[in-house]
Amino acid sequence: MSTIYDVIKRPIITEKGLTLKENLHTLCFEVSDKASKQQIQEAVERLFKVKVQAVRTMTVPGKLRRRGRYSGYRSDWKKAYVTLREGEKMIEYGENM
Amino acid sequence: MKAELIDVSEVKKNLDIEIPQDVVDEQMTSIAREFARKARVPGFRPGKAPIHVVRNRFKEEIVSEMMQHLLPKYFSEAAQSRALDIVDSPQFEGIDYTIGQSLRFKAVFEIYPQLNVSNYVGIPGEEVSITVEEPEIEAALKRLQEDMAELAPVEEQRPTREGDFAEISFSGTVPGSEEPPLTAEKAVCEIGGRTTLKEFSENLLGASPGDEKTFPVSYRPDYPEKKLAGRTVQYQVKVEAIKEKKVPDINDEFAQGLGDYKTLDDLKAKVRQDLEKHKKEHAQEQLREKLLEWLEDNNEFEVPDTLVKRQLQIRVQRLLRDLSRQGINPERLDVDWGKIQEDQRKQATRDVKGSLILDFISDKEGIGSTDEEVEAEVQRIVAETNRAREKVMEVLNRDTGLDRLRGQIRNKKVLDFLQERATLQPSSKTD
Repeated sequence: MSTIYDVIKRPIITEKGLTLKENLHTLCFEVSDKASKQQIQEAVERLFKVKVQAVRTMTVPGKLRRRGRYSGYRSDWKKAYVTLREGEKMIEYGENM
Repeated sequence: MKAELIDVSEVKKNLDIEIPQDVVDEQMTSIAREFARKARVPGFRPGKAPIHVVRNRFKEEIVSEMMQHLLPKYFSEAAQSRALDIVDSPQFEGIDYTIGQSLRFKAVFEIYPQLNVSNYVGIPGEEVSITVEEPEIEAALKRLQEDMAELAPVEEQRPTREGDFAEISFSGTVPGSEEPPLTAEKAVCEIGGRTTLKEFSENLLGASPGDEKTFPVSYRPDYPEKKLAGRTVQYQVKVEAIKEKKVPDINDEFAQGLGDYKTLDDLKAKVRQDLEKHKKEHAQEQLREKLLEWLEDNNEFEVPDTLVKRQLQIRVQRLLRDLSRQGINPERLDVDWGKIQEDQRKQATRDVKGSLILDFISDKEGIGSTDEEVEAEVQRIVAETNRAREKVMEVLNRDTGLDRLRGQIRNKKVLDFLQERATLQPSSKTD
C-alpha cells in the first residue's frame, strides 16, 4: 500500500537545490523510485498546500562502492524537480530554528 | 539586564540574571555567521552553506558557545555594578533557555568576607628566653665527633664484635632462579648496625678475616627494592677485613681539623652561637604562629568554602608528596583517608582564616612588598640554590611564583608588625 506520505523521502538541501529554490521556483526531492510524476505532483500539492506547475524526474544511478576486493553498487534512486506555479508561496524545508 | 542578588549566607551569594532576548539573538546570529564561514556541510562547499542551514545543523554548539560568551560577561557586569569581591569564578546553575526567548540563569559564588579586625595591636604573648646549656653543646660536639670518625683497620687478629665494620665480598643467588648472582667486592657492613640486615649481623658476628659463610636471607614482601622483595637469597660471604670506627678525641687538634678554629674553646663558642641562633629563629617562628593563632581564635567570620577547598587540596598534595619522598606509596598505606581529609580540613580552614586576616591587616596598615625586597629575596634564592639567576626567575615566572614570593614577603612584614606591637610577657619556662 502506498500513500502520498510514502512518495517524498527527503528534500535535497545542497547548494544546487537551494539555488533552484531561490531562483527558479523549483523544489528538489528524493522520492520513492516507484513514484510517477503524477503521484509526486499530488503528494507535493496535498502535503505543502501549493499548486505545481511541472515535475521532472530522473533516476540517479547508484555509485560504485568497494570494500577491499569486493565491489558493488549503491541502490539507484529517483530525484524529482518540482516547479511551482507562478505566484505560489515558496515552502520551507522545515529547518527554522 | 535584570539581576537579583540573593544572600545565602555571609559569604555565599547567588545572582539571578536575565539576559534579554535581543541580546541573545544577536549573539547567536554573530556566532552562527562565524560558524558559517568555515562550516563543512554535506552538499555544500566548505563555508558556502547558507546561515539558516548552519544554524539548524549546529544548533547545540551555537547555543553553548553563546552561553560561554554571555554568562560570564553578564555575571561580571552584574557583580561589578554591585562591587562584589568574588573569590572564584562562579558556578552557573539553572540555565533556562529556549530559542527565541530571554535567557535566565543563576550564578552561585562566594565573596571575600568583610573583616573587621581591630584587636591586632597588643596581642598577648610570651617572650621566649633562650639559653643554651652546657650539655647541649656537649651533645653537639659529640655529633661532630661522630661525623669526623674514620674507619680504621683493626691491627690485632680477632673475631668481629658488635659495632665493628666488616669489609666483605659476597655473591647471592636466588635458589631455582637463572638470574645472575648479586655480587659485591669490598662492601662495608656494620655488625649490628641499624641499616644492616639482621641475617648479616647475626652471621658475621664473631667471624675472623678470611672466614667464609653461607646463609639465606629472606626479604620482607614490602622490601623497597622490588627485585628482592619477598624472596629468599642464598649468600656466600667472605670476610676480607675488620675495621672499627676510630673516633677522634675532643681537643684543640680536633677543633683545628674542623676549620678555622684555634682552640677547642673557639669551637665551643661557635657551636654555642649556632645553637643560639637556631633556637632564636625557632622561638621567633613559634611566637609568630602563636600571635596568628590568637587572632584566628579571637575573630569570628565565615570562611569561604572555595578557599578552604583550595587550601585543603594544597595540603593533601603536600602530604602525599612528603610521603612519596620518604619512599612510601600513599596508595598502599593503610590509613583512613576520610579522617585525614577531615583533620586537614580544620587546619586548612585555619590557614585560610589566617591569610585573610593578614590580608586585611596589610591592607589597613598599607604594608606591602617593594621591588627591592623581592629582588633581595630572589638573590637569596639564587645564592641558596646555587643556580643562575635566569633559571630561578624562569621557575618563579612559571607558576605565579613571583606573586607567591611577594605574598610571603608581605606576610612576613605583617607578622613583624604584629610582633612589634604585641604585649609580650617574659616567660618563666626556658625552652
